This record gives sequence, structure tokens and C-alpha cells, in this order.
Amino acid sequence: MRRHTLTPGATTNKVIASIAVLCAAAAIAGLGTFATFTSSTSTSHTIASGTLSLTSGPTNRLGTGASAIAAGDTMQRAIDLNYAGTVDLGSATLTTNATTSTALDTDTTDGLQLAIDKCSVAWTEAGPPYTYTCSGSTSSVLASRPLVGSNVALSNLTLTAGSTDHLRVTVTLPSTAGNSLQNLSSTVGYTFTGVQRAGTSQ
Amino acid sequence: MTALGLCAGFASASPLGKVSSHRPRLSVGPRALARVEGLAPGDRAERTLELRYRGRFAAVMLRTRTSGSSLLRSNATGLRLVVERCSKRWTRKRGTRSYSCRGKRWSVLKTIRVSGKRKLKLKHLSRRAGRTDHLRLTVSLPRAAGNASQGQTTRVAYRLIGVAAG
Repeated sequence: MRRHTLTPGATTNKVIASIAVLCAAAAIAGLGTFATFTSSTSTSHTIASGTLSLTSGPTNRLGTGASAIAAGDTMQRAIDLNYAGTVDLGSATLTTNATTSTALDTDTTDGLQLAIDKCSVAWTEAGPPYTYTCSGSTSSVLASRPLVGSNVALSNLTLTAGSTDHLRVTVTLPSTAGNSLQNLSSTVGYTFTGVQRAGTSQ
Repeated sequence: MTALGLCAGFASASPLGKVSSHRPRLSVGPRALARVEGLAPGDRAERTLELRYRGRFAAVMLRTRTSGSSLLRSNATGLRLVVERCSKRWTRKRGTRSYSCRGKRWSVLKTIRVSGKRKLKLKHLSRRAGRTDHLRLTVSLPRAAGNASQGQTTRVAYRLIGVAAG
């Protein structure tokens, strides 16, 4: 009769055999799971948006009023428009509104008229009363039109980021203005608005 | 990893012989894309990538991560991303950072928000061993982005995750 005796050595052999079986199973399982291997790689960059800025100065005489104007008189005021951001403008408009309104601004025919010119260099100022001459080249930014208007398109502006346009605003009381426009006073605000250029590839 | 390590050691002494595996590997270049500056609403910025395969892949996914406190990460008006593939290298248009494809072109990923955190499956990739896919990333800022999005900065990381084929 054959007897089975459990000795420490026999136990060790059984444990090793068990590990071997487990590992064989794991090896097979491992081969099966190769399909779930993954690999990743990455890249990156920094993205920054630009800025668009429309400011006035250092020259800005638009805050200077005029009194006792008569039919046929003109008032000239200079203003610098600065495009200080990093994004070019595509267009600019002007909105003028009367915070104190009279026939001077509501009469579109005989009331105050507005025109804007640009000088390629800073306007040379004389006065007061202020008058301006241009030692460079001039171009029309806004042809004569009634003083009050909303989102009126401006032409011939540089609009390039980092540049400045030197403007001269001329307000005229037409010679056709009659007595009904005597002794009136209007207060007019000017708002220049810039819109960015069209989208591009950066 | 423990199981695989045991197996490799165990297998060398078994009748099966040595078991080794070559992990499929995905790599991308360049690792750092050129910075995008001065982006305005309606603008787009194009950058190209070369995606290389060592081994076959069943799928490739993209996960984007943005960092930095910035409105460019916003869901509504934040950055958008499109990915395309060209059968040939993308050709840079002279004097610009725009790229054109002189071969066949595929849409790999339609417009997504860059700030999204999901893994997105990429389409129309070759995914074959030894191949390189020529990709173009187009990042754009929606026209609806307003003044609040000015002067903002964010860092975008693109992680490409490949699932090896069986």
C-alpha cells in the first residue's frame, strides 16, 4: 500500500505549481488584453486674444464750445483718434446726439452742419478762436451733413492698430439760417465707435 | 503590470518560450505648437501636426485641456476647434499661417468647444503601423465673442489617445 506523506517540500512544490498555473492563466489573459493597450501623445500651445482700442488725444478740442455764432460762421475743433489696441479696426462711425436740443440741431437744413477732415500730420492750431492748417495732405472723412446723426460712416481713416488719425471737425451755421435760429443753445456729444476688421487667419 | 511582469518571467521557463510584447506607440510632432497672438472674434489660427503610428490602432481619440482663467475657455463664446487630415503634407501659403491640402482631404473632427473635457473619437485616420497622418488644427474665436474676450490668454493641450488594434 502506497502512502502519501505531506512534507514541507511537497507543500512548497504545490505552491510553486499553483503560482505557475496562475501565471500561465495570466499570461494567456495578458495576450488577450493586448487589444486594450493604449498609447497617448500630446502637444500644446498658448492662445491669446487681441485688444481693440479707440481713444482720443492728446489733441481734443471738441469740449470747447462756441457762443454768439451767426449765420455763415464756422467752428473748427481738432481731435486725435488713436487706435491703441493690437487688432486693426475695420470701420469707424460717429454718433452725435444733442443732450440739450434746439432748432440749431433739429433743423437739418438751416441748422448746424458738420464736416470732418483728416490731416496726415498733426493739425497746426491757431487761436482761439481755433483755426487749423495742415502741413501734410488732407482728405475728407465726412462730407458736410446735418450735425446730429447716428452711426454715420467715416471714410479715409487709417484704422491700423498703433496709429493715430488727426481730425478737424468743422461745424457751420449755414448762411441760410434765419432769425428763428437766433439766441439758441444746443449741447452736442460726439461718440466715435470702432469695429474690428473682418476675421482673418492668424 | 504585475501580471504581465510575472508572466514574462514565468513564460521564459515554460514550453511556450519567451513572451514579449511590442506596445503600439503613437507620437505627435511638434510637441509645442506655435503661439497664437492677437486673436479677434471671427479669426482663426491654423497649425499642423504629424501623427505617427508604431503599430496598428483601432481608434484614436482627442482630449483637449485648457488652463488659465480666461473667457477663451467659456462654453458660449470660447475657442472652437476643427481637425482635418490631408493625404499629403499641408502646404503653407506664402506669407501666411494658412495651410492648404494638395491631396485628398478628410474631416477628422467637426467643430467642438476647446474647453470640452470629453474624449472625442477622431475619424478618417489611417491608424496603420508606420504611417503618418498629416493633420491641421483650426482654432477659432466665434464672432459672438464680445469685448470681454479681449486681452485673454489660455493654454490648450491636445492629448491624442490611441487604442491598439487586436
